[in-house]
Amino acid sequence: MSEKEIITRLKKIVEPYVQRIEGMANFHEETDFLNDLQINSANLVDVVLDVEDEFDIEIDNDSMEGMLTVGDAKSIIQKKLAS
Amino acid sequence: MIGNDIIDLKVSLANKRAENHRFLRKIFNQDEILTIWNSKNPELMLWQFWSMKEAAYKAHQRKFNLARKLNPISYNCSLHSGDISGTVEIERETYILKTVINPEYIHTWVDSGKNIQKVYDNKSYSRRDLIQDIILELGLNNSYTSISKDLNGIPSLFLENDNKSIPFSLSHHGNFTALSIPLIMC
Repeated sequence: MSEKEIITRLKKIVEPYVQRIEGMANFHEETDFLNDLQINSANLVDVVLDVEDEFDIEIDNDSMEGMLTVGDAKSIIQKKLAS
Repeated sequence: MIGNDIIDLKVSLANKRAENHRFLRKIFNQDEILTIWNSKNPELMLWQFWSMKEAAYKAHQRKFNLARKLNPISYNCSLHSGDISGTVEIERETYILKTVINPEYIHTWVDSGKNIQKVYDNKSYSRRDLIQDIILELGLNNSYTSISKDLNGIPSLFLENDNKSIPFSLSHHGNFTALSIPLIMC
């Protein structure tokens, strides 16, 4: 799966939880889920669950710890898809 | 140590969570899950634990100047008798928490013995009110003040005349903003 496709799917996943819509206009690897999109931390757990469903992977607790930006999520997805 | 967390129940209770095993397992350990399921109101218990973890997280990050992490499961909650206060353990550190629960919100803060809490309705909340309240509560003279945040996003009130910073913890959710501020600093 290309990086572009992962990020496109990710954008769709996070959309319902975003509280700062302006942050979505410029959705890139540095986009921070909490600071830029103002997703609250309970909803960030929802994002993790939705990512597991969408990509059919399991995100362990160690990986979840570091899932703070779009780039973090992309790397975790890539790593899990490859394993 | 300082840290707090507010939960707007109108927002959080809109989505039932206590039966969502996958959600629970990402956040809570087995003991916490059992306490949630055995409580009279599992949804409330779940959010009480969550607010304890969040408040302790803020205190812990602040104490050790740690980078942000999404690791709620590493924070282990237990309740004291009466259920309105509890303990959170993380990496051999222990934080004592107090919680207020009413029909509108849950507010939890790290209890250092001497701190003040205030909950604002966002309809009438402004940053100026917040600064005024802090000045009033701490009995400071009305010197020039500003709010600054460090690299990890932790806020402090800077008193320019005294060249002194007073750290505080602020939590926003839904319709509410909650403040916790230590009295020991002044």
